[in-house]
Amino acid sequence: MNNVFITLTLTLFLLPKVIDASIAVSLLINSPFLMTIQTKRSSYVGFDSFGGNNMIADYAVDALVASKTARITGKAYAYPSPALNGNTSIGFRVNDGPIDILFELYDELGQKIYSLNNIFPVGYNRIPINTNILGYELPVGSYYFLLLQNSEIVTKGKFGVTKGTS
Amino acid sequence: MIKKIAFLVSWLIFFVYISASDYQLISQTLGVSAEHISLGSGMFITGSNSMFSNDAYISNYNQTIDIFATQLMPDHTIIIGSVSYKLPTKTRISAGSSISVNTGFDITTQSGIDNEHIPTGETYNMSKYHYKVSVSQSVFQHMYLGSGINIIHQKSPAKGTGYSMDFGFKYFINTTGLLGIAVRNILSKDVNYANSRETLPSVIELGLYQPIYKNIIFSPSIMAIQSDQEYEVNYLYSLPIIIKPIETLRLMGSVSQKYAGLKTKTYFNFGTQLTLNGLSISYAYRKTDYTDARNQHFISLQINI
Repeated sequence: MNNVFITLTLTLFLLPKVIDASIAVSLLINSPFLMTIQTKRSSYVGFDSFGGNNMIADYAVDALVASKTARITGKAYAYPSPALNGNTSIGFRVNDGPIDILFELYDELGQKIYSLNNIFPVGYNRIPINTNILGYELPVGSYYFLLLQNSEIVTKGKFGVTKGTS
Repeated sequence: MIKKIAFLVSWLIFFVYISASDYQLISQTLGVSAEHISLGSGMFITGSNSMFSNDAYISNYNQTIDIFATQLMPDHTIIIGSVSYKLPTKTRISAGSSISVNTGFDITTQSGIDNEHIPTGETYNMSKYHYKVSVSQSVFQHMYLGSGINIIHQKSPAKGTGYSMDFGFKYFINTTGLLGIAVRNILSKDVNYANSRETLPSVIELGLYQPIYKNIIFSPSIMAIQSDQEYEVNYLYSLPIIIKPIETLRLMGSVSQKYAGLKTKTYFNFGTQLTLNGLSISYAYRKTDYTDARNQHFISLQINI
């Protein structure tokens, strides 16, 4: 019986290390795949181009000063919705001056998976959601988002992620 | 016996080591009953819904019906149910399904000078179905083996289907203690869409159920995940404690980890289970980040014959 416990203890401690080692070996063997991933990430320069403000020039947005009277009018929506392969953007309109907004994204278990705090200029703004931003592709499922100003929810919404080709 | 267990563990590690992505089955990410959520995952749960966590199902009852329903997030309903039947040969056959339906998503388009996102007025639902059939058998005096087939069907907005296989093992290390190993999503595990596919993550879970002092039971488990996703760690743990103040009542609490994106989050889960004359009611509580669903309550029901 002692042997059973020794085996169990060893397995409990060694199993994660065995799996980690296996993964490391696999990554080395498949290094071109790893390099492709790294290249994709480093080559990322901006977001999709639509009308309105697309959060491309972070330096310009950072230079803005939030106005106390600024507000979001209407509701924020994701487009495209459903989001094909996890690519979408959250659009919302800002009026009466630049606004300090905290954006939060949640998975279907209610867990926060991404947040962004920034000052958004007057006009129509978009927050992109994609593999470059998150570091991974959102799995198929339901996702919820909140836009908060001074810790108060100003608008919220949800979108689904599906797979396929456009 | 040690050699047999070591052989089995090696064999399972070999099978689980197949590259996988991360299609999320709600039954494998949330839990399959209020008791399961209270314990923070693990594989030593009562009721036939345990077929989703370990196929080597052990029960003193001949027939069991298990039902778990909850509204997890706004508009998101989950129902997980199963039945199990013990044959005269002591083979147990279980069949179950997990249904996840989230309604009221706006279909949007772009319009105006700024290409604003506007709803078209039409909506869509996200609906996911997971069916499973499982067989378990006592192979030696204290050992149970089980195997099951998962069928996954993403019904909308895009149709996708796939299947995978699970294996389970439980061994009585003494009169009250159990050792368990569960392997989920091996062999074929792609969910195929029209022009694309997503792959289920392969999982191997190792757990122990052992009374440590009078009516206090410790039931730790560790889950190793093989996935294409670059998680910050490749294994998650759960550390549950079960207290039985009286034979019919169990109080449960656990510390457990779940993935949130590529990071891990630690949760505290609490619950209770009351069993009277074969009828068992479980309740669980957990707290999440999302404002409108911060306090999550779960109830499940088992009927044992």
